[in-house]
Amino acid sequence: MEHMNFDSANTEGKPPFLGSWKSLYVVVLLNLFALVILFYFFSKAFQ
Amino acid sequence: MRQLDWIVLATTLLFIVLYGLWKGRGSHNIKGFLLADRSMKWYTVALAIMATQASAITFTSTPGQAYADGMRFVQFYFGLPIAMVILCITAVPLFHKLGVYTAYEYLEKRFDAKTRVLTTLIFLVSRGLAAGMTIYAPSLVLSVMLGVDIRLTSVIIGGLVILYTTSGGVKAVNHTDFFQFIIIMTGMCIALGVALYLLPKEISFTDALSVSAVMGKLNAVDGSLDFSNRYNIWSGIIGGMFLALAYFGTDQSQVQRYLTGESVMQSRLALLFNGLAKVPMQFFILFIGVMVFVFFQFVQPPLIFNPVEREKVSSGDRAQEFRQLEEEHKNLFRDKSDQIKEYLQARHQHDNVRIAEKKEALRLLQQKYDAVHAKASNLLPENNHTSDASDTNYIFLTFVLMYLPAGVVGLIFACIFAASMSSSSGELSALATTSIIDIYQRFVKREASEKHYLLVSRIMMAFWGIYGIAFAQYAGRMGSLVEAVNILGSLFYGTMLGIFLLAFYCKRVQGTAAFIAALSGEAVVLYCFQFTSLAWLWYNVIGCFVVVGMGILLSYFQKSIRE
Repeated sequence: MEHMNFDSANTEGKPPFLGSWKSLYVVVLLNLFALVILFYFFSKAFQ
Repeated sequence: MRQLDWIVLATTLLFIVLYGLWKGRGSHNIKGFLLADRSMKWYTVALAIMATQASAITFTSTPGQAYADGMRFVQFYFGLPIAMVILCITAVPLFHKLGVYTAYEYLEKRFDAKTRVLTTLIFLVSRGLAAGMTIYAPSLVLSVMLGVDIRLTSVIIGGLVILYTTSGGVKAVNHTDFFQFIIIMTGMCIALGVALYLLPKEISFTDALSVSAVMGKLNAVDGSLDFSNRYNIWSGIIGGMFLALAYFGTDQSQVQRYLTGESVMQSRLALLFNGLAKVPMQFFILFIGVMVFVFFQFVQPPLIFNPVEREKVSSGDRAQEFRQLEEEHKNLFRDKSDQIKEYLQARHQHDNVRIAEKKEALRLLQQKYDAVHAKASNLLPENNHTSDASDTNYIFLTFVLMYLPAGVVGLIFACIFAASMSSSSGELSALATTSIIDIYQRFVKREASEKHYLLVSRIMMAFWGIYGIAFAQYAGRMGSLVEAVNILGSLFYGTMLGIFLLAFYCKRVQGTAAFIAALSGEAVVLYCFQFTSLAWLWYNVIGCFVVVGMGILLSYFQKSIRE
C-alpha cells in the first residue's frame, strides 16, 4: 500500500529560478494576491 | 468569409494536422504513445496544459459571457494558483515516484480495485460528456459560418482530431497543443487590437473603460459573501481551488499532460507557469468581451446574435412580436448611444452632477435594453421548442465575422479550431489511456504484447472520438457552453478529489470505507444540484468534504467493530 511521502518533494533538486521551490511557490501566491488587488482597483478606478 | 480567410483557415488547419502527424511519429510502444516516453520539457507541458484547459469554448463563449455579465467570471480562476502549489508539493512527486500511467492506478495501490474502478468510471462519464461539448463548440462556429447542419460540422471536426491523435498519441497531442496555443494567443491579441481600433475616433481607451464600468461590466472583484452568487471572490478562491485541485490532480486529461514531463522538476515548473499565467489570460479574454460590448454601444448590434435562430423567429408565427421588439431595441440603442456620448462629455468637463445624472439614466436604459433582449430570447423557444435560447456563444463570432478585416477573420476561426482540437485531442488521449490502463489491461487482458496494447489504444481513441461526436449533437441545448462544461465537471470533481485526499492523507481509511464515502459524496452533490439553489462552484467543496468526512467516520466504525 502506497502512502504519501512528501519528503521526496523536497529532495528532488532545486528549480532553475529563485533557488528553492518554496520561494517559487511564494512568488506564485504573491502574484495571485497582486492580481486580485490590481483587478479590484481596476474595477473601482473607472466607476 | 472571404477568400483570404478561407486560405488562412485551411493552411493553419492543414499545418496543425501535418505537424501532429510528424511530431507523433515514432510512437511504437505504449509508453511512447500514452506518456511520450516521459521526455517533455516544462514549456511544452505548460502550454499543453493551458491549451487543453482552454478549449474553443473559452474563446467563443467567454467574451460573450463578459459582454452579457461583465468580468466577474475571472474570479472563478482565483483558486487555481493555490491549487497548482498544493499539487506541486503533493501529487506531482507521488505520481512520478510511482511511475503510473493514470492517476487512478494509484488508487488501487492505496485502496482496492473497486475504488479504482469507481473513480475511473466517474472520470470516463464526466470527461466523455465534456469531450462532446469540446467538439460541439467549433462545430457551432462552422455551422454559423457555412449555414450547414451542425451535425455535419461536428463529424468533420471530430474526424480531424481523431486522425492525428490515433496516429501520434500523446506526443502529437502535446506538440500540437504547444503550437496551437501560440496561434490562439496571437489571434486573440489581434481581436482585441481590432476591437479597440474600431471604436469611434473620439472615444479614448479610458473612455471605453469608463463606459464599460458605468454599464457594470468591469465587475472583476466582488467581495460579498453570498452562497447563491455564482461568482464572487470567496466562491472563486475556495470553490475554484477545490475545482482546480480536482481537475489538475484527479482528471486524467490534465494528469497525463504533466506525467509526460521528463522529471518532477519539469512537471512542477509546467504547473507553476499555469498558476502564474492563467488568471491574467482569462482576464485578457474577458476584457476582449468587454471591449466588444463597448464597440456595440456605438454600432447597432442585432437583437439576437445567432443568425439561424434570428432567421427562424423572423419568419415564424411570432414574427410580428419579434419585429416590434426589434424596433424597441433600435430606439433603446439610439437613446443609450446618445446618453453615453453625453456622459463622456460630462466626464471630460468634470461635471459631477451631470455625470451622476447620466449614470442613472444609463443604468435604467440598460435595464430596459436587457429586458427587451430577454423577451426576444424567450420568443425563440416559444416559436420553436428546439431553439437554442442562449445567445452568449454567438456574440464574439458575430463581431469577428461582421467587423474584422479579411485574413484576420480566417486567423480567429483558425484559432478557435486550434483551441478545440487541442482540448479534444487531450481528452481523447486521456479517455483512451484510462480505458486501456484502468479497464482493459487490468480486467480484460492482463498479458499481451506492446503491439496489441498499441493497437487497442488507437481503437480506443477513435471510439472516444466517435462518442464525443455523438454527444455533441445534444450539447447545443445546454445554455452557455463555458458554464455548462464547468457545471458538469463540478458534479463529479468534488467526489474524485475527496477520494484522492483520503488516499493521500488519511492512512487509517481503507478501500470499502473510501468506496462508500465516494458514493455518499456523489449522492449529496446530485441532491444539491437537483433540489437546491446553491452556486455550482460549491459542489466541489461539498462533495470533497462529504467524502473525506464519511471516509474518516466509516474507518472509525470499522475499527470499533473489529475491536
